[in-house]
Amino acid sequence: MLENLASGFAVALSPWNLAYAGFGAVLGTAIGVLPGLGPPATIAMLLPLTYGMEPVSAVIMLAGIFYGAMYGGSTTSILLNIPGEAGSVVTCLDGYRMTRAGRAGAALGIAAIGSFIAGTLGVLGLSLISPILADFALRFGPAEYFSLVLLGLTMAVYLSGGSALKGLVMTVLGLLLGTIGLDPVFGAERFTFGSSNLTDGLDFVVVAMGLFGIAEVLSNLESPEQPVAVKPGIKSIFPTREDWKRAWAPIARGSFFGFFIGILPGGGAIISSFVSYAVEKKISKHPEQFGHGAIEGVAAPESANNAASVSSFIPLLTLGIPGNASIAMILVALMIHGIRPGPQLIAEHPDIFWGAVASMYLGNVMLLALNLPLVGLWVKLLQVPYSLLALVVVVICVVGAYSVHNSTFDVGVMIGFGIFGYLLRKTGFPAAPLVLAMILGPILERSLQQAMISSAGDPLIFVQHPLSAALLGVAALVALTPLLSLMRGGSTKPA
Amino acid sequence: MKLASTCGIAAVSALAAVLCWGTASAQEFPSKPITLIIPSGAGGSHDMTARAVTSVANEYLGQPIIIQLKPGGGGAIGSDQVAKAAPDGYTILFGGPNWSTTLPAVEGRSKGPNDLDPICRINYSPVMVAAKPDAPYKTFKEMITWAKANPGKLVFGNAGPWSQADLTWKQISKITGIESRNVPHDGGGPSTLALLGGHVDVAINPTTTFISYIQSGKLRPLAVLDDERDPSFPDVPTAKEEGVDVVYYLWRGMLAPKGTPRPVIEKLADACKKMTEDKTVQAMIKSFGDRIQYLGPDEFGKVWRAEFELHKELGTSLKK
Amino acid sequence: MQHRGLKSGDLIAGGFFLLLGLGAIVGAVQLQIGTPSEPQPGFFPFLGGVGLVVLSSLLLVQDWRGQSSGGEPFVEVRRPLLATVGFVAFVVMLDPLGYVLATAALSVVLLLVLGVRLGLRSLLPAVLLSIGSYLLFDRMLDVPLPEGILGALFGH
Repeated sequence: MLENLASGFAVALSPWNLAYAGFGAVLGTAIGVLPGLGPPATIAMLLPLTYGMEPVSAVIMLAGIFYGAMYGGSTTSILLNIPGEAGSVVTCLDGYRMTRAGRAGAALGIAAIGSFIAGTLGVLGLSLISPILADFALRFGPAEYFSLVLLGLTMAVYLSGGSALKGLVMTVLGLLLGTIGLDPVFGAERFTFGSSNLTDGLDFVVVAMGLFGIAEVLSNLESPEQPVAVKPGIKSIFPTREDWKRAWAPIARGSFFGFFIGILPGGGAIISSFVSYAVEKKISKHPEQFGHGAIEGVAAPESANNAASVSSFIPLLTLGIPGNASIAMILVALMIHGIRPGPQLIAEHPDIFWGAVASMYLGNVMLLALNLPLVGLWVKLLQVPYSLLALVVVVICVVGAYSVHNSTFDVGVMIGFGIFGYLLRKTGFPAAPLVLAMILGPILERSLQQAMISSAGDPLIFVQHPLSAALLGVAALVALTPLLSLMRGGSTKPA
Repeated sequence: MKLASTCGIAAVSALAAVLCWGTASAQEFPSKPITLIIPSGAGGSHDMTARAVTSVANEYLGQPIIIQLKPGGGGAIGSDQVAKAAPDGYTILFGGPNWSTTLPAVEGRSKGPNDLDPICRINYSPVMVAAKPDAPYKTFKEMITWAKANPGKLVFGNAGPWSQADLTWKQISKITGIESRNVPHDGGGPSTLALLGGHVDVAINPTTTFISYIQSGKLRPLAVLDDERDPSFPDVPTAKEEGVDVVYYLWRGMLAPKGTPRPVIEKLADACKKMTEDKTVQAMIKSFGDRIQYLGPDEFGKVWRAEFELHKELGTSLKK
Repeated sequence: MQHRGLKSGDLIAGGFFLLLGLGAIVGAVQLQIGTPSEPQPGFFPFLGGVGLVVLSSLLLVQDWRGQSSGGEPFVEVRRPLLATVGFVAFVVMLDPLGYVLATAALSVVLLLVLGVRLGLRSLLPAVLLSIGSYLLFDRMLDVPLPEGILGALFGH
């Protein structure tokens, strides 16, 4: 094991591979910060470049882009309330509130360091127990997926704060919005009203940018004279001792959830980010601070989505099955070189497996070195007048929405959801459960259908499978808290 | 006289210029990169084949072929986009039987031979029935017997409605009269994962998808749905040998919008033929567990049309 | 902190979501629901529609019993409303005007709404932002943005 890792480092430390890892990490950070170009699109664009490389170098560079984007994705969430990646929707809740309270530096710092710790722990897990974990991923059939997503959505209701009933309404609305477009199983057009713009469905980036970014701008317009406070001085740039005391345990727990849930192909990374947030809120001594700038609310989900970005390589490296679109492109890069990831990859191509693993350790160090100095730069950017910052938010949202399909229609949808999101805030409906339900809806629907068909319509399948039953049990426990408050009068502790 | 000869020379040279211009414009194609739209997801067998073949496009075509993934609607979204594109050869489709034959033949969705012109076939992969090694049946025949003894108990994992897996399973079920639960999946990757995890009992996928799991003993091959046995699996019988005549070619090819000029099609087909004869491309395709079976525009067009008519009939007989 | 954002907010929202839920049910029935063992495309939307109807009815009952749970109060309505009009106009004009002009116009509208005095100091960053973001995304990052009339002028 250690020998293998050492030989892996020998591969990863070669000057060219170091340069590829660095290039991937920098590019990944950049596309994570910029709207529009997601990691799969970027990797697809660079794929032809890798044909002439050594296969291990190709993996090192492309993987760097993927996990670099996870680092960068939190930046716009924290600074501008614009979630660029599905995994950083939850980060908006407290990250942006910290920015408004003049603590952007602490939020970005804890996100970068949490990401580093989680990424490193994730790679450690990857190098130690990958093969065992592959079997764990295989045990997730339709019943287990359904129960896991249901648990995730229950937690989404819980994390929203405020009225549980309103959180539930948003969750169900999100599930319905997720059905717009061609139905994944039968290919029937659903709720498209004959518009070809809707056959692809609504893109969550477009909806989230409206609900978070634009709604925030509209809300801020009510009292225009509130520049985002950035107190001068070193102290506010980096997390304080108190921040560390509060954040280390959430980072550890977030890494744990991210690593294990992130193995599951499909929505693993997203689910883990809000499961870890909800857990922190649940066990916190001061849950009322969540949603108002609690540092745990940044540390936990950011750690989770980075650990998940590492563990999402496990199904590819051990089973040959890609868990998301970015990793599918990395699979292509390997196959082009005649290397078929699968059960025999570690035995047949140890240089690739261990070289890639070692490069991830190094990539995480590089990302930390790159991102910490950037924190100071980002915080400086906040010192521009709010009027200009608002314009930046609008421009990012417009370009980001437009670039999804190169169509003005998506800009219209984004603005529409911006206005809707503003009204939701005025009526006390939380936006986060809607976005999360929209992302997870298709997974929930598919697993429900598959479970129903394979059990010949018997709903007992969800409790007959032990893992599924356990997940449902936890979901029931989580649901009890808000349900009790619902019976008491519809509102949890005033925020 | 002089005038006449001058006129004659002028006329001849004008004619020559026109002729040259005519051939020049065909020779000029392609003057810019060509976009190849793949209407399925990243990392699938179509994606791999397309990338392997087009990796040498610049050498044989003088321009690169840029791959654009447009998944969705079982391939309908990307197919519709190409059918609507200008018929100039600069936007072409990576065709496959799921979205270019079966869907248009059976459901009238996506685009088939009535809306697209054939350029060439690159290859086809045989598809194969596989199960877990610990299944109570060891052969295709035993599986049918088991399914008959346990009606409605066998769980089959398809790779999407009217995919190679769904269509052939419906044919097998109709011929043998077995009843089973046909669970939809989002493609061959997810259905393979479900089979490995024991969430479905049987699945059908290209041999290239199954090969590494069969080699590592995680899956057991039951039958090949081809005219003859697969050279990679000489011991695995065809379904035909087992008494169930179901044959399916999971082909890959290039298709152009209807009305693309013949010289452009031929230029593309010719370049494609050379790409498939390239040593590095052949090595890549071989490493996927596949081989090249090139067909030019006319032969391929006939095969495709015949398949379309066959699937039309199958569709009517298999639909409930 | 029991502020009530809108007095009738829950009533309006409840009614709106109730209608949406009913619409989803109608749409789902048209798509065919199927049976649990053979679900059709309308199966999942039907469940969602029923859920939305039940939940929004509960919301209406709560509101009727006077247990409204509030949102943020309106401090000012005029400015967000003006900005909303600006946003909608932006979407309509994005294709005809092109990205650069439409974004510059929207920036001016937002600056006016924010009460920033228009002058070189405030306009220059707005114009630079619209041109700069165009150059960055359209020219460098290959995200093609609408050219509009400027594109027609320069013969793209």
